[in-house]
Amino acid sequence: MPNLIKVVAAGDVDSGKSTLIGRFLYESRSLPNGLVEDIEEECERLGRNFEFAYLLDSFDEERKNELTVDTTQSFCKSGKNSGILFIDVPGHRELLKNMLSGASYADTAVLTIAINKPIREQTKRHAFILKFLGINKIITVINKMDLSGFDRNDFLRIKEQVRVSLEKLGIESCAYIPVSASNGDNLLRRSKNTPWYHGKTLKETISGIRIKKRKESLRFLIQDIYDIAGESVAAGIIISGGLKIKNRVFVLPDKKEVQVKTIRYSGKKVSSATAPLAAGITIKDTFSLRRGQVLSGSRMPPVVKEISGRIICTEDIELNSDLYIRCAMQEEKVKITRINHLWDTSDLSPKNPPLKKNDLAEITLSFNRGIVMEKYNFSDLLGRFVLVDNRDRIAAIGGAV
Amino acid sequence: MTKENGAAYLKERETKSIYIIREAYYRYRDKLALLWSMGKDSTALLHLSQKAFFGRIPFPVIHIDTSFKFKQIYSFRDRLTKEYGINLIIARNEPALKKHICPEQGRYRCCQALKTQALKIVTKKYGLKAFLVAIRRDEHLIRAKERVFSARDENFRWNWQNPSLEMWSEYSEANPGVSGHLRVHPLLDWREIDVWRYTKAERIPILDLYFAKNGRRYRSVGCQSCCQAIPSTASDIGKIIAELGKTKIAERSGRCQDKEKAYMMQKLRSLGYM
Repeated sequence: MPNLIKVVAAGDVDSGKSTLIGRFLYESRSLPNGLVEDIEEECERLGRNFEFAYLLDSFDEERKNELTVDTTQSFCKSGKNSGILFIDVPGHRELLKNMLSGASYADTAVLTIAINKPIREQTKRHAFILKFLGINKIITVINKMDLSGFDRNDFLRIKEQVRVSLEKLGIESCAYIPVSASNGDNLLRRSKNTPWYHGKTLKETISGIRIKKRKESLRFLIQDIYDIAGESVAAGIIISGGLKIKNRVFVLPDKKEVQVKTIRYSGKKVSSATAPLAAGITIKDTFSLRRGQVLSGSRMPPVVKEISGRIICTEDIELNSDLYIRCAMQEEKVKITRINHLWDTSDLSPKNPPLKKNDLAEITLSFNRGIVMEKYNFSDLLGRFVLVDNRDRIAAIGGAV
Repeated sequence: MTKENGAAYLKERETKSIYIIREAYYRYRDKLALLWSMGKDSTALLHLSQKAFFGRIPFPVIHIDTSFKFKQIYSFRDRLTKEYGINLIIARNEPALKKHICPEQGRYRCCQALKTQALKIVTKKYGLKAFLVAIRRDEHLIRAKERVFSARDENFRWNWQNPSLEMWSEYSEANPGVSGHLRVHPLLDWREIDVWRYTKAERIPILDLYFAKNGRRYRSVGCQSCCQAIPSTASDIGKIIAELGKTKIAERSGRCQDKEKAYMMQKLRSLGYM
């Protein structure tokens, strides 16, 4: 599906994220035969009314406890050549890692708010994480409108509260849609229950979102070195731009200029290659290529030994513990040399060290050797990083400021 | 979709999958193996692996042979083993086969013994630590919950309640420890129709069980005893792609083990099933 948009449903526990996606899939006729019947049977067994959320919450325990534990994805055809990939994530604070695993796929987000509940810190935290991940297009749905009798004033009141909360976090929502996820109001069809609402449905809003394309200069990331027919081939992926044999390119972080001798794709030698492609190259020069290096044209990305980075901690971090930075296929030992700012992710209020799980921080990182890093841009493999501890556990995710 | 757009989309899918295959190989080298059922997905995975390493797959390919497979599968397997130059390992749970374990004694027990247990035996015998597995999220609600890199413990258990953080394309948190193993899923993001489009574009050999004969075809191929053909007139890949654009029939609707009992798939998978 060339026009595929990936949408994460974020928001507080019980705001109706899974139900929203489930109902959307149902209305768009994206479900195979038998699935709805299976779920009807299951709901009967558990003595419940039909639950659209079960289309996403497939684990036994998730259904019994009515709580999404892990992220999931579901595809929905939205037009002849277009589709929506919905990503469901848990709302619970303790399940931040599962939320991040899902949200890291997303192009855009639907922030789900329940009309009958005050806006709690978890909504703000999710909204902030989305912004942090570079998801700038956020659609807000005010859900469970049926519980307020589809009251316009209730909608406007909550909308204003959300708008003010988001503004404090520096986020602008591109739409506010009154919905009842369990009944399908304003998801695909305009609802008769909200004659006062003249905006777009959720489907129309998602379909109107455009995702920016990436840049065009060469970035070839070396993944591994293979011995192919007696030659040492640097296997990697071209994430942007292209290259030809005899091209002169720069190997970073070494900043060494080399000439491309051969290019391989699949089992063949080819004369040129363009992104996106998994290719292999050899060079004319006596210089050894290795995993983590980046090939670039003359428009080179920065090579840095120290950066200011913004991170979200996914574990508690002790400053003098062993940490490694991973950025694309690069890995280096790293030291947090300074904590410049530290905030609580729920309300962005400043706080004091140490770095705790769920904290947001701006820190200075320094490495023994230079690494290639583009500016803060999460759509770019070289613009984002993770910090891992000596047991391969991800302690923080982030990007260079 | 325009032809050019479609080709670019498949190239993107291919690049990402090859990236994943190579990451698994980088981490595990000769302790990595590919699970090949001869179905469309794992045959596409085989093809992607060949492309990833420029012509020759540097790790063994395992066929878990329950002995209840379609007979066409065996000749197809032997033909492709030669064509792709594969180092093939056939995994059979001989003790269970001697005891005549079969689907009639209960599918849950049969899948457990002849698939999961057979894999356990071969894992131990060859000291394997990681498997490339061609599951996709859109096949089953339980598989939709998977990670690209997913750890199993020494008893092959899937600790789904404590999954790893998989951030962007950083898969390294999944850690099977000293005694467990890793499942790597390079096709997790692919949809059924993507696999068919890729198979067509790349001219990947395909079992003829997938093509309609006398008004029926197999949509998902496993053991003969537990697979049912669906009504269809799709006699080539182009027609299958057209059919998938319209059908409301679930891909694994012909697979008995998915449906026998509520949560059977969750139970099978939590105990090490693919």
